[in-house]
Amino acid sequence: MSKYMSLVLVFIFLQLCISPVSLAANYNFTVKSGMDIGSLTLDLEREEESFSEIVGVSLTRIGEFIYSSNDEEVGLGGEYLPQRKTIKKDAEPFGFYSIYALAGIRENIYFLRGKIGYNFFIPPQSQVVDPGISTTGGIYYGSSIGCNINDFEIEILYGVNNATITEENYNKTDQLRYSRFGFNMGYRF
Amino acid sequence: MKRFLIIILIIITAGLIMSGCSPEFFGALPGNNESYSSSSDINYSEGEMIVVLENNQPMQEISVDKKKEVMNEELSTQRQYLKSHGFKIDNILSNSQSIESKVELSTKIKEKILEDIGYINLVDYTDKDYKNFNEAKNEVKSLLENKGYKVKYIIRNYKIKKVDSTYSGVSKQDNLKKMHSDQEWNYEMIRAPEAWEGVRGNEDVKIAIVDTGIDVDHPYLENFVDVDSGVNILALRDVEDQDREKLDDNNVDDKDGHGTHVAGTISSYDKVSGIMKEASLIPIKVFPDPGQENVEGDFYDLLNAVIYATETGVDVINMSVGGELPKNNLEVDKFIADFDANLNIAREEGVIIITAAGNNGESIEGSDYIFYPASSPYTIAVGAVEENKQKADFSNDGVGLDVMAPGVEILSTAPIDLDHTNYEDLRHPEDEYLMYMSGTSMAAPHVAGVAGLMRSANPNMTVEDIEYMLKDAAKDMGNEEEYGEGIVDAYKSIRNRVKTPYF
Repeated sequence: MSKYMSLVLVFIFLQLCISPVSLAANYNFTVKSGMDIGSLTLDLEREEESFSEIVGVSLTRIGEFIYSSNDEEVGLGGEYLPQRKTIKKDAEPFGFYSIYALAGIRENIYFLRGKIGYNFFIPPQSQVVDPGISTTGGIYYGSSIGCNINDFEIEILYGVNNATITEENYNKTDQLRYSRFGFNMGYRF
Repeated sequence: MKRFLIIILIIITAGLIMSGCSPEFFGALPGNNESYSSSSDINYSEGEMIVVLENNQPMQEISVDKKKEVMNEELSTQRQYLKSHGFKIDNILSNSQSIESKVELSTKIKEKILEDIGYINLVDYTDKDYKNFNEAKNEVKSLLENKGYKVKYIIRNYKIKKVDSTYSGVSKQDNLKKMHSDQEWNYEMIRAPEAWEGVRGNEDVKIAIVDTGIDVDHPYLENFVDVDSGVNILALRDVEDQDREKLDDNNVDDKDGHGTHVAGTISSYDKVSGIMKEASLIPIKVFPDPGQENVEGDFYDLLNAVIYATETGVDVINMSVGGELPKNNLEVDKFIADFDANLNIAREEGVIIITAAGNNGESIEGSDYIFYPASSPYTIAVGAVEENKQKADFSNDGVGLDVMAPGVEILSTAPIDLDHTNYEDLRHPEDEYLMYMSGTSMAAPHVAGVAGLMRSANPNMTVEDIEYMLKDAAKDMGNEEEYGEGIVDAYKSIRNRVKTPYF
């Protein structure tokens, strides 16, 4: 699945590079960092049960290649979301890293972007060492608004990461969803 | 002024009298520590005392290769010293003790016991002519202190008992009806059949059954019993005890029936099933066979059993045994703290310890307590429920109760060669290899089986994880002091591996 998604993203990226937008545009690389707060939801397949819990404020790191014209932009990005923890006592840390394509519109210094891609899942240690459990990533999507002031970028992001936890013993797949609001700041090179 | 002084004197006198009457006051007095027992039913081994000495030599200061030598030398010195004064002595860590013939106690475990507890000795003074326990205790204490030892405490060697019930509320005819559904009601209550869809246990999961032994030739058990790893703890004591010397430390066969019944609930096959479809059952015998009344299991044996099981590398210990210890007694409290430390050493080695809460629920009205070691924070204490999910009348409740499991008229394995006449009436009328028993002793192995299933699903699960998941998955039954976290749920406990890292 992840290999398939990577190929799709490379294909999208190549398409973008030769698109009319990119021909008339300039490109930049932006590095951003910020904080987000969100919630984690687990849907158990067999039990038809759902659990939800707040995830405390956590660090986000983002890197994006963006081709932009005066009023449009496209690009590719990557995001690293380490060490998330729900507020439950003794909760274990988990995380994600994502690769995605983005497209957006610009108005003066302001922008509105949509992002879609694939995220890999970093499971908690107890699930890493559990021979009966396997995990995979899932679809990542999000949207953001922000502005560029000189070479600096400020962004408010809503993103959703997905993962699948498979209980091999019972052949059950359970869905994990992490949705969050983030505030990121960065520098454009 | 004079009247004022008289009033003050009266108040002070009254205060002194009142404080003098409190058990704590007596408990703090040296030599009087055995005066206060909460129950006259608390039994102890005559002529025996547990003497715990502080370890004065920090083990980290000794090089690794010298540690064992230093420890053994010290143990030998203590032994020779008390022997020279006419006492018989046994030390759990002693090299000469025959526990070493079964399993070499590692320096690591010895070191932990020495650091967390100290030198645990059993002193037998039956050959000495003392008027009472206190006289013997004071003599031993002064002898040791004169030699420079720091005595932590000295207590009587209290006895333990099987936690089976005398409950007899059903006839064989009623039991026949149960036969038609076999063990369905109790296993379905804890959702074992659903758990088996994915996890059935395996032979790598070792379950120690600290009990009366196991019928090693039982047709529904024999393939699961690891006789070589089993031990008769009663035979290990290195004192010149004629009754114990007759025992064979390799003989773990069960003539009583209690341990075999417990074993069958954890794992059995053919006409019955355990909670685990496969496991390695290690019998650790702490009770004698019927007819050996001169030998009885006690807390020293139980301490030894936990150390042995830990060293054997078991995953789970089922202790459907326990007992009452005197309350408001400083020295007994110190012993409990040391026993807890021993249980914690086992826990740190990855051993899950399941205990029966006790069957005095009916007899001690209004007195909420559970047996020791069930009341220890390092064990999972199990109470019993009936088929209607109500707490069994006999099941002890109180602070420290963790979970509930079926414990009334439980069908499980019975030794064919049963010497215990009290149990004969409990046999299944159509299958002499089976019998029905009731008690928290029967509830505990349900939970031990679930813990074993969890370990087989993921051998890397920590004790804390298993304990948390078991309790989290339990079906809430309301009153926590009566039901703990509720009735254990095998399927949900295993599935909790998906949920609990996050929620």
